[in-house]
This record gives sequence, C-alpha cells and structure tokens, in this order.
Amino acid sequence: MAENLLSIKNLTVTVNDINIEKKLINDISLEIPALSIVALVGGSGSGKTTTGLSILRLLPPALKISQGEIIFSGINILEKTEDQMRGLRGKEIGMVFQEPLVAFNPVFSVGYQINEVLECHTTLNRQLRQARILDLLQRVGIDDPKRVAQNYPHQLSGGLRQRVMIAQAIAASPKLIIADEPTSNLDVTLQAKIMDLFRTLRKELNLSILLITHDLGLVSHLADQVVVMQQGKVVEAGATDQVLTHPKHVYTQQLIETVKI
Amino acid sequence: MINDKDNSSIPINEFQIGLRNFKRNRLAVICVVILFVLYGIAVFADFLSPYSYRNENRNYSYSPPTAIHIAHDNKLSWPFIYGTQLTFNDFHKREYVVNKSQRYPIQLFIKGEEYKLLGIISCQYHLFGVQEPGRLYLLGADSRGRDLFSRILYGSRISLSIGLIGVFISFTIGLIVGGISGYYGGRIDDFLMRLCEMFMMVPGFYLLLAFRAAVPDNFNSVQIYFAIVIILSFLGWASLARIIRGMCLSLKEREYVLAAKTFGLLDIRIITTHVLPHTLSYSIAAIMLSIPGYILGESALSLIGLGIQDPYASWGNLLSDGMSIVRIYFAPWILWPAFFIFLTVICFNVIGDALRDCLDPLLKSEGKE
Repeated sequence: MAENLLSIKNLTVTVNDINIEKKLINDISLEIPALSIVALVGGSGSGKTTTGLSILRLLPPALKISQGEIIFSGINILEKTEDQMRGLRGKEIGMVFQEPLVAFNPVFSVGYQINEVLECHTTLNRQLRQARILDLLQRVGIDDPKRVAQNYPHQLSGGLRQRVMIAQAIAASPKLIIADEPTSNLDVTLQAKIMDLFRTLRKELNLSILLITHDLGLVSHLADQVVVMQQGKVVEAGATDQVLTHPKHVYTQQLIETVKI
Repeated sequence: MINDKDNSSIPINEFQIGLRNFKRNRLAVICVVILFVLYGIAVFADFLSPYSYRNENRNYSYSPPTAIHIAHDNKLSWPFIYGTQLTFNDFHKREYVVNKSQRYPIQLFIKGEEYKLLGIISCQYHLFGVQEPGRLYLLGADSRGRDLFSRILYGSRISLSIGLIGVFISFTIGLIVGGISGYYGGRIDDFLMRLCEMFMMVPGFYLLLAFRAAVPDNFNSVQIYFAIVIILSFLGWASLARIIRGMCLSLKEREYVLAAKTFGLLDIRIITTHVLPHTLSYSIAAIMLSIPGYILGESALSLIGLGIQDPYASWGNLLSDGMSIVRIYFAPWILWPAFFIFLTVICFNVIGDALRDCLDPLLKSEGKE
C-alpha cells in the first residue's frame, strides 16, 4: 500500500467551553493514501465538514481539537504555528466549497480572486500569473477563460462557478483537495461533468481528494475508499466496492437503502 | 460567445445602478453642482478674487458693499462704481459718502497683485476689479478695509479642504481600527473598543479644546492648520470604528472569508479585500454626512480664536468678527461667511442622505418612496 498523504489519528473535536461536555467528533481515524480519492460519507451533522476544517485548522472559535494527530506528508499539522499553517493552506491543501456563489467574494471578478491565491503562494510576476489563470480555467474545462476571468461570480452559471472554484483550489498546485459537497447544488448532468473533471485532475496534477458528501451515487463512481460517519464517529471504512456491496454497519445499510428507493 | 457590447447599455454593477438612482434625486444633483462650484472657487480663489486676503486699506474700514451701477446720467453704461469717502457723522458713526465725480468701471482680467495660479503659474490677472484708487467691495469690508468677498474665497480653501483631509484621515483610522477589531475579536477587540469609548465619552467640543491646548502656541499658520486637521480627525474616528467593527463581526462569518482563509491569504489582505469593501456602501454615505462636522469644527475653533489666525482667512475666523452684537448692528455683511458655511453643510448633508438612499436600500429613510 502506498504511503499515506494524510492520516488522522484519534481526532476528537469538542466545544471550546469547559462547562459543556460535547464531542462533535469522537475519536476518529482515517487515512488518505497518495493519489487516491477518499469519500467521507454521512448524514447532516455527522461531523464531515468539521473533519475537513480540522485538517486546515480552521474550526470556528467555538470548537477546538482536544485530542489526536493529523499527519500530512509526515508532519503533524497540529504542532505547526499559525504562520506555517498559512503557508500550507492553499499551497498544499486546497478546499472546494459546496456553494461557490457564497464562497466567492461578490465584489471582485473571479480572475482577481484566483490571482490573489497565486500572489500569495507563488513568485510569478503579473503576466505569468495572468497566463496561469487562463491555463487553470482551461484545465477545468472552460472554453473562453478570458471572458470568464473578467466576470463577477453572480454573472456565471452554477456549473461554471463550481469549475472556477476548483480552478482556484488547484491554483497553487496543492497535493490534497478537500471537496466539501462539491456537487450538491448542481443538476445531475453537471454533477457527472464535475466528477469527470475531478478524475482527470487527479491524474494530471497528482492530486489526492477528500470528498465530503452524502451522495452515495457519487461515491460509487469516484471514490477509491469510503469512510462512513455517524454522529461524530466513524462507523465503517474500507474500499468502496466492499463497503457499498457488503455494508456491515446498520447505518451504512440504511444509507444505501435510501439511494435504492 | 457573448458579445460584451450588448451589455453596455444596461447597468451591470451596483455602482451604475446607484448612480442612476442618485441622478433621480434632483436636489442632490443640484447640491453636487453647488459643491463643485464651491470647490472650484476654492481652487481658483486668487484668480476670482479682486484682492488678496491681506490687501488692506484702513480708509475703508467696515465699508458697506459697494453699489454697482449700470446707468450714468440716465444712460446705460458698462457696470461701474462710484468712489466713496469715509466720514464720521455727528454721533461718530462711520458714513461713506458717495462721490459721483469719481467713476471706476469694472474691468475684466484686470492686472493686479501677483499670485501663483494653482500654486505654479505666476499670474497677475484677476477676473474682475477696478482701477486704484477705487475699491470694490462686493460683500463689504472688515475693520481693516479688507475685501470680505476676497477673504471668503481665500477662506474657502481652508474651510473646504479641512473637511476632506480630516475625513480622509479619520476614516482611514476608523476603517483600520474597526476592521481589525471586528475581524480578530477577543482581547484586541476589547482593547480597541475601550479606546474608542474613551474618545467618545468626552463631549466633543471639550476634547477639541483640550487637544488644541496641547498644541504649542508658537506654531505657524501651516502647522496650526495641520494641527487642527489632526485634532478634528482624532475626534471623528471612534464612532466610525465602532460601526465598522459591528459590520465586520457579521461580515467575517461569510463563507468567502472562510474560503479566503483556506487559500492561506494573509489576515490583513482578507480584511482589506474581503471584509472592508462590503462596508463601503455604508462608509461612503457616512463620509459625506460627517464632512460638515469637520467644517463646523474648524469654524468653531476659529470662531473662538483658537483656529486659523489672522491675517489668514477661514470662514470661522471671518465670522469671529461678528461675535459682537454692535458690529453686526452697524456692519451686518460680516455675517456672509455664515451663509457659505450653511450652504456647504446643507449640500453635504443632502448628498449624504441621497447616497445613503441609493447605495444602501436597507437604510432607506422612512417616508420616501
């Protein structure tokens, strides 16, 4: 088995208040091998997104990581300083959000916002950054990158916005992409296209992807491995085929049932 | 491929929509024009005024506004003025006797005192004036026979610029402090907000006086000018910082701020590009509405003699002549600067209101459609 790009060991996230004993994520462990797509599946409130944000150490101030290790390319993320984390975010780990309309700042063109990431993480000069933006947009399957780059988020269609969001996430060529329900707001045909895009990007850019979703159909098409979460705990994990065809845990079985109906 | 030119006629961004709404407000547009004229006057004050601000002639102390005649011997002629002579009547009151034998036609582009147009070009021509020894007082004269009209024009430079510079400084401070305070929260927030409250709890005018007292009294007029600007902007930033901080508290929870964090952008970058621009629709209106405060603050300081010093003119210190009721009684024209202060303040307020209405629909004042 290939070396793990990211491994989470016994991670526990609690409410940052000594008076409240509530564990939002309870002792979970998961591993993302290099160049693989791992799906994190579960219902609402099961702690999927919180896990994703823990990896970037961007939990809201009300939450804190009370226990565990998050090891990314051999280094424990939790021991890094805030400055080192900033170098890591975007540069090594990128994030794709569920709703690109609110994940883009409405007052700047999308090109400007991709440029911001490049400015922060690369030493390219202005012209090279411009060229890179167009290249990135082309890579995510946009035909007329010049026009799209000048547009404001609200001027783009949902599918285009999601593609631009992905382009922004891969701008500084990270090794890991955390995709938080990237297709939940898209229609079925677009979902398939975005999925294809993730697959090609993985090959072209040597990406690993942590796919946070509740859509098992998506998981079966895309993921190599599945981790099922329920109420802050990992209830089942394994290769996709195995988990989907022979679910062991009751909750996994229920999830699969809902899709079949 | 969409043709970009098709979209050019319909407003595509908030700014254009705002501009269109603003133009619908006739009163505000008129006020914009008035302000443009006033600021234009300030820029070209030395060309537009017949005399310089320090040109005095004590024979014309408190000379009333000079009457401009267009008819001589029942015949229409080019506008001219008669010469006047100061006399004292039986009650030792000043009286200016018109001497019909002396006629001074008003000349355009007349050669007079030398000045530097726009601060660079040396020039001697004034838009209008009369040949010496005639004296033209459009709005009367002050105690030393200086032309009030010219002094108002020169004074507008100080009074109008103090508002802009003051608002620029205090809004820069306010936006930075408010942005940092709201974005970081916690102890930084506590510290900065208590600091703001310290400034806000002292009644403004007393704080103004206290700061003024701290300024050395041997400052020259330029230094005093900047001291006043800085003092005024120190008073103004606190309330703005508090409002901006409140807006930032909610703005920082937006998902694009989180997204910006996941891309590893610097905090200062996130504050300046992803948080503060969203407070602009509020700030622009607030800027307009707070400029009058600076103009009035300078006027108040100068009025009580702590601001701009004679012979330099500002609308405030021109008005200080009118502090005595006796002087207002026999020379009511010395109140003219008040009219200009009033006009400017009203214009800024109307524009501010209009901007608030068209930029921020949520703040739209009640009772309007």
